[in-house]
Parts: sequence; C-alpha cells; structure tokens
Amino acid sequence: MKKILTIILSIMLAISHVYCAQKITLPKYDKIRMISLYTYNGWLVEISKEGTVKLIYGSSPMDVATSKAQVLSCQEVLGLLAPHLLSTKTDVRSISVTILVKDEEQSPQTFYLTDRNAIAGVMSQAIDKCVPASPERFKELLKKYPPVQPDESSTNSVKR
Amino acid sequence: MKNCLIPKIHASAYFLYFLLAGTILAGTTTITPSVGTALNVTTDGAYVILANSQMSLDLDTTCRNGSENVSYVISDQANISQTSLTSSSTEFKTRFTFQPNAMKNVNTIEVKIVHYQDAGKTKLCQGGATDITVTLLPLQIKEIHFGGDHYHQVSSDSGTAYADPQWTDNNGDGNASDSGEHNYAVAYTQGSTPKIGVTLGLSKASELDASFQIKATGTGGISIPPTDATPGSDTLDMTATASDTTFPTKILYYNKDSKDSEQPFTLNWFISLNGNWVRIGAANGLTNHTLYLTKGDPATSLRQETLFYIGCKQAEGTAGNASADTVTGLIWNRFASRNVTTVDGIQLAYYKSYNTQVTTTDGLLSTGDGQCGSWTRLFLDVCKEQGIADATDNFYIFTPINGDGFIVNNWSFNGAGHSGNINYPYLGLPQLPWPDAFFGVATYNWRYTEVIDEPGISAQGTSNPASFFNNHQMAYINGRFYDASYGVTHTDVQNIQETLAGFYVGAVTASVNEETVNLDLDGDGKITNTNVDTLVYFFQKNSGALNIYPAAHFKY
Repeated sequence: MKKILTIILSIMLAISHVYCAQKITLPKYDKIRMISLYTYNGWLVEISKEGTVKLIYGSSPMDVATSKAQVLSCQEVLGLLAPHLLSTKTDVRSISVTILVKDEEQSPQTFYLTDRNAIAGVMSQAIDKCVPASPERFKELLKKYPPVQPDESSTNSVKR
Repeated sequence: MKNCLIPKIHASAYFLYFLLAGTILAGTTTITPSVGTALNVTTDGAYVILANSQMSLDLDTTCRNGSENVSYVISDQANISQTSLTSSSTEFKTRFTFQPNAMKNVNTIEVKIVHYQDAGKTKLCQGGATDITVTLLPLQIKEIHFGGDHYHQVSSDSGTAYADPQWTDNNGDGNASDSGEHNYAVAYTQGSTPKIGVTLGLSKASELDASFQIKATGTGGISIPPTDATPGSDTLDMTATASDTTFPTKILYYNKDSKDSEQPFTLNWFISLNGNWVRIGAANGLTNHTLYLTKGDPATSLRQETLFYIGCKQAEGTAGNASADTVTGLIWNRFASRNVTTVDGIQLAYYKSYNTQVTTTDGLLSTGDGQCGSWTRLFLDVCKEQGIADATDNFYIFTPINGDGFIVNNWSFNGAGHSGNINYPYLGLPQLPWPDAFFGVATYNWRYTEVIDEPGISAQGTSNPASFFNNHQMAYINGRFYDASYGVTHTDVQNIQETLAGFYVGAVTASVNEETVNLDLDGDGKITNTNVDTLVYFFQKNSGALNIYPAAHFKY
C-alpha cells in the first residue's frame, strides 16, 4: 500500500512539475479569430470564430472537408485542449495548436500537445461534422494518413 | 639412354616438378592433380591453379638427337601460346604460356606432348607421350559487403533497401551490371572508418590445402589490411574488415558510372598465397562503387538514394566541419535552380498535375510530382541526410486570415467584377460536378469566370504549376523562409504574400443572375432568371494588406 501511495505521489509531483514548468497564458476567447491544429502527419483543422470547421490535408482545395454551419466553438475547443497545452514542444510529434487572435498587433500564438484523448476529441468531431469536397479522395487520405497516429497515442503531455 | 627422347619439365621458381615415369615407350601418362592433395596450389588471381602448373611450363627435351620431332597438342590453343626457346640438334626447348584471364570459363587445360621417332631415321629412341593436366579453378569476386559504425544503408527512391551484399557478380565477368546482379550505392559519414568484406567464388575451396589472404585498397586512401580468408564449400570469405585508414573528412560523391567528370569509389582487390599478392578476378581486381560521404550521421530515418545524391553532389568537396549554414546553402542552390533531379536523372516537379495528392518526401521521389508539403519535406530531408537538423520550428504552413484560400501569380482580373460581394468582387463558376470537373490535370475549368489563370511563376519542373490553394507550405531556417516549390526565399510573411495574386472564398452556393454569366443555370432554357443558386467562387485581388498567417509551424 505504501508503495502504491509513493508511486501516486511521484506521478502527481511529476504532473505538477510539468505544469509549473510550462504554465501558459491563453488569449481571451473574444479575441480569438481562429484556432488551427496541425498533426504531424499532415492534417490541419481550422476552427473559425464563427464556429465553422475545415479539415484539410495538403494544400489542394480538392482535399478539404468543411462544415456547413457552426459545429464547434473556439471556446469549446480551447476548453477541451487548455489543460493539455504546452508552451514548448516535448515530443517531435507534438501537435501544434495555433491561435490567431483578432488583435493585429499580436502575433499568432502557438502551443503544443500530445495528449491522445484531447487530439482525438477534436479530430473526430471535425471528421464527423465536415463534408469533403471529394469524398472518395478524402476517404483514401483518411485511410492512408490516419489523423491520429499510433505513436502519438502512446505519448502524453504530462506523463513522460 | 642418350638417344631416348624423354621430355622433362624444368623445375624453376615458376615451375613445379613434373613427375615423369622414366622412359615412356608408348601410350600416355596423365598426371591429374587431385583436389586436396596439395601437390601444388598457386593463384594468378583469376584462377587457383592446382598441381603441376604455374603460368608457364617449359618443355625441355634434352636427349634429342637431331632428327626426332617433338610436337604437342593443346586442348585450348586460343589460350595457350608456345614460344620456342631452344631448337638445336640436341635440344628442343619450348615454353607454354597460359593466359588465364582469357580462360574464365575453362576449368581444365590439357597439354599433350608427343615425341616420337621419325620414321626412316635411326631408331635411337622410342617414342612416348605425356599428358599434363592443369586444373584451373576460376577465382572471382562474387560479393562485396560494406558495413561499419557510420555506414548508412541506402534505399532506392521507391524504398527498396540496398541490403548487404551491396555488390554482386553472378557470372564472374568482373562487373555487377548483368541481369540478376546489383551494384548498390553505399553511404558513410565523412571521416569514418569503413568495414569492407568480400566473398570470392572458388570451387571446393574448403578442400584445398592452402591458406589465402585478401586485402584491398580504395579511393581516398582506404586500406583494408591483409586478412585471412575463410574457405567455404565453394567460396572464400573475408569478413567485413575495418580499414586501416578513415574516409576523407569531406562531403563527397563517388559515382560508379563516372558521369560528368565524377569519379567512382574504386576498390583494388588482391589475394595472396604464400605471400605473393596478385589482383583478383576478371576485371583485374577492380570494382567500382557509388559512395556518398555525408557531413554527419543522418538525422532522418529516410534513406532514399536521391536524398544522399542531392546533398553530397551539391556539397561535393566541402569540409566535413563546415557549418550547417554553409552546407544548407549549397543544397539550396540545387532547389533554387528549379532543376532538381533524382539520382536516376528524373526531374522532379511541383504540382505538374493539379490533382497530385503527394505531400511526402518518399511520395515525391517515387512519383516525381508533389505538393508544396512534399517539396518542403524533400529540402529538409536532404539537409537531414547530411546530419543537419534544425533545433527550431522549421516547417511553416500559411493560410489566409480571411478567405478560404489564395491564388498564386499570375492571374488577371476582368473589369471590376460582377459578384455583388463587396469584399470579393470577382466571380467564378466552376465546371460541375465540382471539384472533379473543375480541377483538371493542368487547367481550371470554368463555366464562367472573371479571373484568368495566366502563365505562372516557374516552379520545380514546370513553368506553369497549379496556383489555386488553400494553404502553402515552406521551410524556415535561421530567419529565412525557403520555398522549395518555387526555389525562392523570403525574408518575411509580407514578402511571401507578394507572390499571391488574390484570395478566394468557396466553393459555396450563392445566387447568381443568369444574364451576368450568360448561362442557363437552372436548365429552363432561358438566360433571364435572377438569383439562381449555384456553386461559385468569389475572388479579391491581393491588396497588399497582410492576409496570411502561419496556421502551423513545427520542427520537422
């Protein structure tokens, strides 16, 4: 029992250490213009301030899926991701999260995360709610380049 | 006895004792060396020669009595020459010279010496005959093995690993270019110590009572020291052995085919039997290889040969301790030329097909065409193959701040536009069904448009690539953006935006007046309806105001 408690305490200390070391300041919701998530294997998800979502692979307009209406709010996405965001990369395969703020004086802010559940939550909603321009091409891409790769799922932003 | 004509073979430094059974009155005597009996084993490099032979045989009939004839029959006259040394009334002496390099497929050469009494002359001597059988075992380089701590196994551009053995010659002709053979490229870090081994083909090698050593010298001072060879059933093996010397401390590219003044990496192979070193094999002991020396150990798991080829060719001769910036700059020169070719000479292209989905380095190398993501990765992977890995975010993706995408120079805009959208005044009706009918292989197909795709900015492998994108991707190194797709660099984001003709929104469904576009959009046979819903793009010109941002950047 004592051993288990020691392990739990160690994990808690480790978590505390990471959060302390990577304390981040997020922009206010009403200032956010766009949130972009880019996965290491080539998928870009853009959530606009209006709540529309685009799921993009590569740069061809043929390989885009878009939502027709508001499906995800920036506030909702940020709430989901915030506990896992890091100011610096801890893993080469981290997903980058760029937050474009309205204020033109302020540069886009980039954070990173590797937490599988957080990534999968946003990705699965984007895939479900977006309509591909070219469904067959898109289906092949999803199959060939799964948005969440196995090696991403094996890492965690706080448990190294 | 004096009058007997008895041939004998001189024993000399190059000559072995030949057993004769006294006076031979008739018939023949054949001495056939048995493998393993170790009567005598020598090698000239092309052959291991068994029993009573070396490269030449001297026949000396010392008891000749003027009138006797001496003749000989050679089974392979094309490959054995005869030189008369002495021909007097008392002595007939001749030399048979084997030409083993020309006898690669001949295992046994037979020399038959016939001497007889000339009819009508005094019978001073009975005739006799002796056969000499020389067994030649072809010795050939069959495989060469490369290894070592800083050896990097190369693969083809399609991803097939160039595994050990990297050089094979199945038919013993001295080259590795025939069907079923291969001569793979190899790569090392500059200044490292290679290990190189060889497998020789030698029939019944394990039955020979002989010890062989093998050594090699190579381009750039490489020296594989004398190493005992291990006999197999039909092989002699020298395991991969460390060179006494290291590779030059330079980035180098050796080309086995010696194109464009490029030099091959050449190995000179030698074999020794009892300390007499001779070159091995049909090609005078020479094997040529493609070999790359990189600046450092690769920082990528990709090993496609073209990644080595571009980097080492561009930085050829650069000191191994040159800065990463220097080598990156030399590599970039190739991309700036917009003539990036694979090691097989295939020019790679950027969006030559407007429908390409290739976004990766391996995809670009295997298909020859790719998107901006693939070009960015190719550039960074060539650098990484040299061991240059930027510690900072070096991969940027730009998307529009407003709008769904952008069009890259050059596009023209007709008039003021008729879209009715203040921000995006120009209208385009893509061909239906969208997107398949709209995005042609090398055209954008419209039902109606107020924006015209003009001849564009030259890019990799094409003068008019696709120019209609939802984002653009490029590398970022030491404060500079490297747009490998077009072979240009940019100092800042504004500079990048200057390459754009405009921005678009779409494709979206919007109301259009049929008269404006002169099309019967609703299929009622008239072109008079207003506010007919159809799929459109809206465009705006690039005003110069910053409208792109890095939606993602990360360390590739």
